Amino acid sequence: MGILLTPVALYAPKVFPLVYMALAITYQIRYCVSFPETSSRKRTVFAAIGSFFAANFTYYFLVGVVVGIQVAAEIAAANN
Amino acid sequence: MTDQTEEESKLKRITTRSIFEDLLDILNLKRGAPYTLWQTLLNPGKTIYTYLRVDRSRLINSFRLLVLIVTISTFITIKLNLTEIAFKDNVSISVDGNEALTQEEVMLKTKDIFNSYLSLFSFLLVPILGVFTYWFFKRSGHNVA
Repeated sequence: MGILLTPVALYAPKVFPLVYMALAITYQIRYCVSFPETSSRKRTVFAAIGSFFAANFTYYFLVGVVVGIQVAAEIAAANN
Repeated sequence: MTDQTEEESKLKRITTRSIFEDLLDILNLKRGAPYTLWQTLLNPGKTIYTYLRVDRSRLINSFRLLVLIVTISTFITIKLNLTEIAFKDNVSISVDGNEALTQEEVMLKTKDIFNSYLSLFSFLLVPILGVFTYWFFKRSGHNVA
């Protein structure tokens, strides 16, 4: 579902961070609490928020590194 | 004459539904894709639980669903030129005055690179989300990866 939301996220970059975060975390909480053997709600909310931020930070960092390396190579090629 | 009528009645009737199913069959998605997407949106936990532990007959294979979603997402993003909209407002790259490329050219190249790897980036999201979800939900006893 997160992947399907990517176009929306790209289309509304100024609104995106808050809306996307709220949607994603709500979705994740809903996703987890609907498991029958769910533990406490507090822990679930913490895990949902934590995993969301950690995963997104790592993801955008890796994407940034990959694109950055490619762009640096392009600039270097143009300079030579 | 009677035999011909019997043969015709044995043939499956061509309906709008059967045409739609034939179209989906080309993509090997005859059944389950719309249902799985709808159920995942409305009731994700129950759907995943059903897929993992109860019954998989009505739900589409998860990897097939992933490929379908990535394709749709990448298509929409590239077709509507959404990366340019996003890059224009949010990404700034400063270029030294001595560089051969202007700031605009660098932005264009960045956008092109991003577009060409977009589907791979989407696939990359899955293991990363999986690992972090596993770590954070480990104590709760869920592995929702």
